[in-house]
Amino acid sequence: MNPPVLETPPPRTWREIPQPITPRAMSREGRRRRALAAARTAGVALVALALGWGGVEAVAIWRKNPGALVAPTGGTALGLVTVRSDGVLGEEWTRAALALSPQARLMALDLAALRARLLVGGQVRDAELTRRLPDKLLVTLYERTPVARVLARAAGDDTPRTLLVAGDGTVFAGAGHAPEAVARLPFLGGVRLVREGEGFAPVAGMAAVADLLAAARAVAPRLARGFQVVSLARLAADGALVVSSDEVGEIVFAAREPFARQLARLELAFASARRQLAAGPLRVDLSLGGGQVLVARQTVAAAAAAGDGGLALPSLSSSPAERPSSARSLPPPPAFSSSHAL
Amino acid sequence: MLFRNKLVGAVEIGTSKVTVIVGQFARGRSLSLVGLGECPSRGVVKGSVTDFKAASDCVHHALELAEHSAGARIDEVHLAQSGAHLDGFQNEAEVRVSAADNMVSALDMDNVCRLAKSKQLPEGRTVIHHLRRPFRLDGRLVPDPEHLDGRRREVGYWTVHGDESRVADHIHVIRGFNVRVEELILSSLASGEAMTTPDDRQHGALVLDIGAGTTDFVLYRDGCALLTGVVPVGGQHFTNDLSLGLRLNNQDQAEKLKQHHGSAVAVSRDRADKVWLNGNLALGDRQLPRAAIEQITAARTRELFEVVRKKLGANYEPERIAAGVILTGGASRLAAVTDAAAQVFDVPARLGEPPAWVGDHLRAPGYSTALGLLLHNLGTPPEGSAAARRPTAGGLFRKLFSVRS
Repeated sequence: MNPPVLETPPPRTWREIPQPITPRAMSREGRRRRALAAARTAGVALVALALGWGGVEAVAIWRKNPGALVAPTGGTALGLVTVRSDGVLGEEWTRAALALSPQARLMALDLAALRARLLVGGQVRDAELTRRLPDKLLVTLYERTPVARVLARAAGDDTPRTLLVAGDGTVFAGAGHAPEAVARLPFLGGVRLVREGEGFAPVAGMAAVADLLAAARAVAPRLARGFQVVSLARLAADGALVVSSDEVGEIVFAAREPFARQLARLELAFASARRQLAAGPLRVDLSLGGGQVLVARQTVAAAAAAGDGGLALPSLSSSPAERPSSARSLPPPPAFSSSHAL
Repeated sequence: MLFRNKLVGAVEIGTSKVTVIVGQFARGRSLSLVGLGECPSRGVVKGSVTDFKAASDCVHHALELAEHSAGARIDEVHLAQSGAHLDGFQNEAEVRVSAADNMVSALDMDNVCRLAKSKQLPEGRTVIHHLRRPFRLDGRLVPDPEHLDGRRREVGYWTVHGDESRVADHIHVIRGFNVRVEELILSSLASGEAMTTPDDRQHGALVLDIGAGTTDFVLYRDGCALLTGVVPVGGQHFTNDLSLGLRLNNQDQAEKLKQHHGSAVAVSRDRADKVWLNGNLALGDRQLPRAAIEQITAARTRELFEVVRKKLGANYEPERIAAGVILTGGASRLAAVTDAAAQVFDVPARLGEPPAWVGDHLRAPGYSTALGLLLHNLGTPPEGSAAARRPTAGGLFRKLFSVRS
């Protein structure tokens, strides 16, 4: 058994010597270091205080209104709306389409919903909306380019109105387009417009039409200017596009062959026929293949049947059974007058 | 900032110069020496501050130089403590192992250590170190008796204490730079740490750090510091003796004579062998007998060593000092000083060498104490290791919010 240990207090050690800081005993460098240390301590304390206060505020806001944390700068009112477009639409149309309220807040805007509003008409192919802090909204529009027009009646409205059709078949109202530019577009025939929501379903086969018109403008601009109607009636069955032209009469293009080559043959055949045949409407068929061009003079009856271009308005009835199958009836077969092998 | 490496300034406030070496501790395991600052000392006599303002100015200047050299601010200071006011005593304690199976427990070790360190000091004295000697278990030396079987356990401490006001003066000088003194280490222990290897300490070694105003010594045996001491005699006394003995008015001339012609062993017997005082043949230049210079320095050196041996007393046993006497400090550059030490202490003597990784510019004997301050706690906690093993509470809080550098 150990004797009881005498619990005497430990002797005083040097670590118990206080190490006070008395500015009078400090050197200039010491005072500078002390000031820096005090500033650092104050900075750390301030940061800690700010973090703590921020945390308390955040918790309070989270409990009271979590939405305020999602849009922390929701209080900033929307100022300028800047619009950039590669087409004809401007700021006025965009503001109308967006339908923003005057009290709209920049950070509270639902950009996805706004973008959907811009795409509704079909004229805008794509749209980008970007917030520019503090208060700007930048809208960039990518528009569809019309290649043809079509007359259509709205449901419950007997007044036909002109709609535009883009190369991808989208039918849209065509806001902002100049009337003279619209007047230069050929009409579309032989199509059925099917209502889809507020608009129409895309027209099938428009890619071929767009290619034909683009090739015509490039290869034979004079002939292209005379294109009145492009009919899609035989596209599905024969793979042929029938164009009514005020200069030639009727031209049948094969959709599967390059249009530029067909247009070249057309010009040559047209010039040759003009020399050999009397003036009058012709019917040129370029869809025979093998370089064959059928040039026929239309009969008077066929020409009369064609009338002012042979355009018939498509019905807007939703039932396919009630819709006309074609914009115009095909003319009777013309009498052969000559044939050219090119 | 909280997790960067710690920059420690090792400060030795000597009689002739103030030395600051900056060490970068990485996770307490590796040390890089990154800065050095030194300047002539003022306001310090024999290791004690006599003029606070002058001492503060030169210490702060040295600290600034060291920080500039390191390119970073010093986080804390390890301060060397020397001076004639330091003293020591031996205190031993013995307890019986409390467990029924006679297995030594940690509680037994704490009890015996606390008992051995609990001796009270006179008023105005403060403990600098408790240097533990090896444990004895039933009379046999064991480095760590925990879990060993035995009945009687003994431990001895060499307690170093000093005058509280003088120690406080040193600390306050450093605090004037607004940096905290984290460690206060005896100069002799620091020098011993730098100049000896663990093998030296295990085999027994006597380290003498001969400074300008004091000579610090530590005697190692069985891997532990057995005894330390300070003799208030140093190289400056050699210079004074030369100045008086040769009737020189200028201390600088005496210092040059000591450095160039002084010797710890009188070799020259030819009284016609003379040396020039200045060597420039200017007015006042004269010839002095080399033998006289050597006799003065040799006598003083021998006297110094004899005083040290006398202070060691019965603890000094030449046959248990296998590693011999190791000399360091600025005054150890005196010629033939190892020969003189060997004659007095009856064991081989050599000049101390710092560890091989220390750069050439820090290998001079004058830097041994500052180097040792950095090496002292590297990887090993100081004495009172039981307390040192315990994690300190509030470290992070203190780092963040304490008003200090």
